[in-house]
Amino acid sequence: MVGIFIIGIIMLAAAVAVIVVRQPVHSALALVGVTLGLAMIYLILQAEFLAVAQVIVYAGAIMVLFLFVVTLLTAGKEETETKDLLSGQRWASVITGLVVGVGLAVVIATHHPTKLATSLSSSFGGLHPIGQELWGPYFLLLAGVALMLLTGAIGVLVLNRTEGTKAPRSRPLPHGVSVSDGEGESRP
Amino acid sequence: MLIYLIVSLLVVLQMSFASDIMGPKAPGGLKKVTYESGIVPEAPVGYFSVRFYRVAMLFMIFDVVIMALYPWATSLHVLKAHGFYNGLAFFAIVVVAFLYVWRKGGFQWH
Amino acid sequence: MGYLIPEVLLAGGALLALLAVAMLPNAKNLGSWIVLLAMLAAGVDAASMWGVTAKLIMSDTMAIDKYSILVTEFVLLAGASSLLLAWNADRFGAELPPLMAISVLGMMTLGTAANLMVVFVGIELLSLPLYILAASTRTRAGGEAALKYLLLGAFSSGILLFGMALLYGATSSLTFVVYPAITAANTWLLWSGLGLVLVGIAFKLAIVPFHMWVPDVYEGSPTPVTHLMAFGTKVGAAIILLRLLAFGFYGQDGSWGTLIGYLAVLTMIVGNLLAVPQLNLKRLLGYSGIGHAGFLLVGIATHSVDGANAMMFYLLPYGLAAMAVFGVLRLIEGQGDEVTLSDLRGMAYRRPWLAAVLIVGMLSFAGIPLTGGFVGKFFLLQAALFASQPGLAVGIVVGTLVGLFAYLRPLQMLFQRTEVSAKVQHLRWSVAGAVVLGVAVVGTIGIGVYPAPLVHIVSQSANFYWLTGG
Repeated sequence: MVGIFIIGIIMLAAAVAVIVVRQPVHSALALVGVTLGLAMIYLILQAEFLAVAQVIVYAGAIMVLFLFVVTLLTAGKEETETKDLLSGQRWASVITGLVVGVGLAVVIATHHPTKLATSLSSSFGGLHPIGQELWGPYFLLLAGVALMLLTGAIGVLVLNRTEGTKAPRSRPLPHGVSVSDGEGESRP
Repeated sequence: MLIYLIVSLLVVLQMSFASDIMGPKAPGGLKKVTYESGIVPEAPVGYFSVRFYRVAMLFMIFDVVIMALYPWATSLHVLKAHGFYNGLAFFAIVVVAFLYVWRKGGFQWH
Repeated sequence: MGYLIPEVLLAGGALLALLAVAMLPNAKNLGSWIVLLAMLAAGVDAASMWGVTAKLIMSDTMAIDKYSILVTEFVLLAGASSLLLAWNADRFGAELPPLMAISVLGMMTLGTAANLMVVFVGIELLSLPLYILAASTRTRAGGEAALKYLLLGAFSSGILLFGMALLYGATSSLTFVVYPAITAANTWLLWSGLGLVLVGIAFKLAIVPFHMWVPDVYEGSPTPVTHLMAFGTKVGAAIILLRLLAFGFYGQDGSWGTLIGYLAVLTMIVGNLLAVPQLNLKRLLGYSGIGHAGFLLVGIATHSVDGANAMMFYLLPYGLAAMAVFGVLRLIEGQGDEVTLSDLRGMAYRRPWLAAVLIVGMLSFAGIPLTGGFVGKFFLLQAALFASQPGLAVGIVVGTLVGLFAYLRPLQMLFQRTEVSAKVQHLRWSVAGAVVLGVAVVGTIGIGVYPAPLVHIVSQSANFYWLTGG
């Protein structure tokens, strides 16, 4: 129980760091902290498979993606703080966010775990229970997820189409979008 | 136990930061330049190829597929034929995605 | 499994079409044909199941009843009309048909959902292809639309998921059709969860505090995609909201009925009010869509069988009118993505038939008698009055009056004799567009003049309360 609180505090600190640090790379690294903390909570709940999946998918694949995007966005650019177009929206969002967050936290905290209508089943998050549920009675949901992955693959190629592949576009890219005409090049 | 923990923590901290605190410091000069295997770095890269992003995205998609297949492989002996056919259906969707990406040149760098 | 043949057909169509796109890149329209045929087959198969006795399938995660079948037909109509509007247009990319098929599959899934997990999978299946489609023409506005849609959509999905987790904690079940049996769960945890879920769905349905993304996304997306968002997404989000609230939380209507009622009135008035000053027609339709989402909410807020009937009924005339208007826009825009009010100038003299179609669609949106929109608004008004909620009735009337201004401004442009806009002069008919417009006009006027058959069908389908969970 104490362990969960400690991990929770670390995760909260990391989550705040994601928002407040200046460098996007540091944000991404702080996000690794959040996902690792979540994986540790899964481990405490004896959900080994979920913990491993969390680390491999989030801390591995998705974080690589984030880092690539960060590199793409910030390579060779000066850090500039954009100006608020709507004045005061930052404060409004902070206040509403705090109200909702604290409200939810109070609601959840006042519900003692014993009063919850459900308790964690003993097989929660294990490899075999997950396999037997996911590939047995709930397979259609997994098929839906597979279709989402398919959509994701289409999206990558549609939105990130490069010139000179097997399906050349009839229309030239609009000016300013041609990010792919040369790779790893160094420009003066 | 607690004393042992504290002492070990202190020792580790001391090892990490002692050189920082006590060592001589000479900032500036070539120390700020990126070390790139002895090659003098050129001007900062203006563009980072968007292809890296595509590779990462495709890796992530098929990574999730593998994560879904692992429980399938380990519980197939319980799921029997039903689970096997479900697996085939899942494969069909994934293979279509794979073929699409392949034919559209998603696995080529150029 | 036999009950899910429409879904399987559509998924198979999407996969085949994608294979065709990948393997035969030179076969023009092959993917579109495959998806269109799959949609027709799915529609026929769903219609043949009409006599089915309602039941829960797939370990109580999906419900097959007349409600789900009618929803399937609605969203297939939306999907097929969007596909036809994009017919022969290379600039949307060859991947448009399979993506549309997957999106429609998500809407169909929402129609059958009896479980929160299925709701989530359905919403994501619906949204993901739309994010891509919004940017498929690779214009600056399209990119902006896709990014806004993606960010806000992902955010709302997160809120939805958190709400579902709280609901699970409060009720120990994700199958919401068994919720009425759980009486002990009347706790703050339950209400927090329900509130978050409502926020998530309200984003998709574009209810007023959560409507900001709509105009930009509608404006930037290609017109067929906008049509799919306006018709299909609205059907999907509205029907899952109805089933979740009116069935899952049947006994606790005192808490959410009032809230939905206020949101409905706010949405009707604000949406139509903001539609009035718009110059870009797709923005105008975006705000009009917000207003119509408010009208749909009235049916849910009344919390009666009449209200459910009225909402289900309203979806079809709304969708048909959207088909008419977006079909005309698609013909006018040609190779562009933008239609402003001044592009309509002189259309009534130069292209009288097309102008007539636009007039029918707009009048149906506005709710003028002899169009389907009027009958729909009439039933909503009736439901509000029967439920003795005069506030809702006043909201409908005010919203309709304000909307009338918004819809008459474009029509006024049609009759400007002084000059004919270039887009109207160079307009070219297409067979696929004509099919969509024909169905839309016949449907709109048909429902307006003789609504009895649709009323009968809807009253059978909206009566889903006896579906016993467990």
